[in-house]
Parts: sequence; C-alpha cells; structure tokens
Amino acid sequence: MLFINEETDKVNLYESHLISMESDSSSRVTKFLVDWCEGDPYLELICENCSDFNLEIAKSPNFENWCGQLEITGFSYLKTKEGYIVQINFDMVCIGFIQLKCSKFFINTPEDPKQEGGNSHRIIGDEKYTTEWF
Amino acid sequence: MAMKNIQLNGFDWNGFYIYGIRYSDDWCHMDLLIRKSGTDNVENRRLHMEFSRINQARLNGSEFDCKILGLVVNENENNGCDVHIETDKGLLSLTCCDIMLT
Repeated sequence: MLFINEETDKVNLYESHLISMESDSSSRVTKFLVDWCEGDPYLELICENCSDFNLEIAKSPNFENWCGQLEITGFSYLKTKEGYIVQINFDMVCIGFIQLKCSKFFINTPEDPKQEGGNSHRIIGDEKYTTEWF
Repeated sequence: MAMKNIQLNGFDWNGFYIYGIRYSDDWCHMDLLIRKSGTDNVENRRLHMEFSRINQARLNGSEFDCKILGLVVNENENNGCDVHIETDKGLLSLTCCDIMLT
C-alpha cells in the first residue's frame, strides 16, 4: 500500500522503530526502513529531492544501559512553497529528531494500516506546533 | 583483512563517506554504510559495530551523505570502545563492544 504526502496520516508510526536510513546522493533520495509495530515486518518511508538534512540524537539518561533503539514517537510534516519538511521524532531510549526537506514523501506499507497515525505537528513553524508527544 | 577497534585509528579515511545507518533486527549490531569517493554505493563496505548505541549524533548539511574527516576509537573501562567520528556535516559519537571495518 502506497501513501503519498498527506495520505501518510493513515499510517501510524508511533512505537515503531527506525531500522535504517540510507541516502543516495546521486538521486537525492533518502530511504528509511521502519520496523512497523503493526506487523509484517517493515515499511519504507522514502523522501525525494532531499535537502537541508538535520539529525540530532542523544541517548536518554533514563535508559542508561539500554541498546540504542530509535523508537519513533512522532512523525511530522509541514507543507512549504517548495515542498515539504519531514521530521521523525525520538523521545524514548534516544532523544532527538531527524528532519529534512523534500519535494515529495511516501510510505510503502506491507499491508493495510490497522490504525491511523497523523501529523504530530512538531516542526517549528507549524501553526499547530506542539512539544507534546504522547 | 578486517580492521578492528583501535587498529582503525591508523586507517586513512581520506575520501570515505558515510551514506547510511542500519541496525540489526535484534538491535545488537549496527552498521555504518561506507563508500569511497567517486564510487556508488555498491562496494558494500561497512563499519560494523557489536552492541552499539549512539551517544550523540549531530549532523547538519544539504544531505545525510557525509565525508569522514576523522575517526578515533578509544578503549573504555567496560572493555568496549568509544568511537568518535568527525564528518563534514558534524559529529557522531557511539559506544560499542567491538567495531570492525569490513
């Protein structure tokens, strides 16, 4: 199932884990692989014509002896004149975010989503901006 | 031959880029995907880390693909390694049991 831009509201990423992130500098595509909490087993988040990559992650002092799982606690996007700003948030074992600009983003799921996700509005500049994540 | 842990301090990183991060399913291993300048991503070189976690990562640039400027591995008091990677986009700081270039 393919969900493009705002259609990704139908996919819940909360409590899923980021498994990998790869950039292809020649085609300016960034591909994220997510271990999807709803099941079988992975979904892809793909961003096209990427720029302005920003990653800030630090381990949480509350999970000192844990492995560094990148548990997703929010997925946000903001439509701009040029395209979209996309952001993945982490607030558990690791704290921080990955943000980039792109012209288009889409999520490819292995099956129908069981519950809706939605924009968590955590990008500064969003008129519905919030710091809450639960 | 694979280089391991503090042996990596002597490696010439000139022209190497990190273009990806990949965890194993059980979170026990992490690979930093490496490519050499002027090549595409098919070489499949990796910095493979056992029981790794990110302590801090701060990368900021036009894209994720980042040029390695320096890599320092220090053995820590837990018989593991603290790894600091300086790139043209920022810093990656990790702790792991072992780190290997393959």
